[in-house]
Amino acid sequence: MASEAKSKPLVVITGASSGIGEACARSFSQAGHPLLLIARRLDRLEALKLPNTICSQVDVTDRPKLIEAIEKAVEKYGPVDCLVNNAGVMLLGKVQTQKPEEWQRMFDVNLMGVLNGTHAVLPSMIERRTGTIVNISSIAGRKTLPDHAVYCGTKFAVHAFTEQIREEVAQYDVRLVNIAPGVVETELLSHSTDKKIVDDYKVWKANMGQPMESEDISRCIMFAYEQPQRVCIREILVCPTRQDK
Amino acid sequence: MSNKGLVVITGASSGIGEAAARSFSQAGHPLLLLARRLERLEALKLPNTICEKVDVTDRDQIKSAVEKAEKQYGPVDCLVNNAGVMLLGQCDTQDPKEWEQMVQVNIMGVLNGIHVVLAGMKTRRHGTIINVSSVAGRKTFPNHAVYCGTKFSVHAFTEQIREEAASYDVRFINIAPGVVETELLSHTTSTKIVDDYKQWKKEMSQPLESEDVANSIMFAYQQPQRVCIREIVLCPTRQDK
Repeated sequence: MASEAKSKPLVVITGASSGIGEACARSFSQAGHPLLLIARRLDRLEALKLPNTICSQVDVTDRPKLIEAIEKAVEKYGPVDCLVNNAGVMLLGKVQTQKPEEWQRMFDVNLMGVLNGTHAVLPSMIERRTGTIVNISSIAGRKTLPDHAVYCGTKFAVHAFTEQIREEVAQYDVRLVNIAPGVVETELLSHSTDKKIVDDYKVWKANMGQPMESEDISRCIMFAYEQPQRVCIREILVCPTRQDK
Repeated sequence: MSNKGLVVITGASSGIGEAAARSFSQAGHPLLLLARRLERLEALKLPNTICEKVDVTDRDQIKSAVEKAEKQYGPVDCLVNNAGVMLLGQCDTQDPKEWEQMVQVNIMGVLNGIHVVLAGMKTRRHGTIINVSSVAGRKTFPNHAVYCGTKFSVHAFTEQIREEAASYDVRFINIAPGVVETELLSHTTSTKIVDDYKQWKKEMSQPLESEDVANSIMFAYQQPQRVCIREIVLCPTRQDK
């Protein structure tokens, strides 16, 4: 019902087809928000069957398509109150043997994808003097980890530009939030192409007893978002208790 | 008799420590409250609470107080190292005694608390230590040079101790607030610096309330024990730096 949807504002979530993005979509929907869900796998978005939700097949590296999808959602549900830049890719490797195409992909998605989303929504948030951008970074944006060299490079970048942008828009009551999880049980590991590294990661994960669930992260995202607009949670670092690094 | 674990809070006589005391009490925990101003602790009139006059720079005082509380309420489940002092200044003119005081309270005071409770937590394979640091433990600010030094230090040793305690299921949490409306500013001795700070605060329109920080402390603590929120940085939205 469009009139019910208008009581809570529009939330945009990238990479909503699985993992943290999917958990977020469910949480925001539960809280009554209309949603724009962005991912490459449209069927997965539609399978969530969330009410008052537009599903758009978009790769976050395609800026014009991302802008178009957001404009279409804004026409229907009003301005974007929260953007969750969640789409990301983790391709582990040893730099001397890893395919440089894998580094390029990580920069495109983890850096440019986040900046594209930010670029699409920030001017309106500044004008309206309200809004929140939540960037799903990683503990790898704060510490370096084995086989994560270039992934860390992308996530340290996210932490850095998020903080500087935040400083610049603070006066407009716009909030930027870095969420930095450790090991979460999602599809993220499945894209790494080095089998030994994947096996080593799985051993590391097993030593932790229990990785986190996507819902553990979406709970942090909701906590940050639902603070009064005058409170900006700039960063939450959250990991399995037994994750040492 | 509560089945909630004992929570120890330092610097509970005002500000964030007081707000944390109220929150944990509301959630049903027995408390040990430590501060130099005993009358302020007792004035909170919280149930199942022991109030002890303790200066956190005195490790033996902390130890005695914790032993007394554990006899009554069982082992410490959570320690909130909140006591801290912020003495702003310019390093060429500031009295070096002010630096010594910050190092003693903000660094040694926190380490003293950890030293008293950590072995027990590791033996029991359970526990949480929450260090109230500051955004000044992540970034540098005008007039905050040595304060930043102490808070960067807290961030550093908290993270390393956390790594070492992780395999024992003990959690370490850094809470790093920006400007909060508390007594903290009142101890700075330079009038000009205090005035400048108040001007900065006004530009933010609204500083944080102690309760905002207590909410973050409770959120972190109340995660399942398998989830460690290692750090929360929270500031007024309009605080630029």
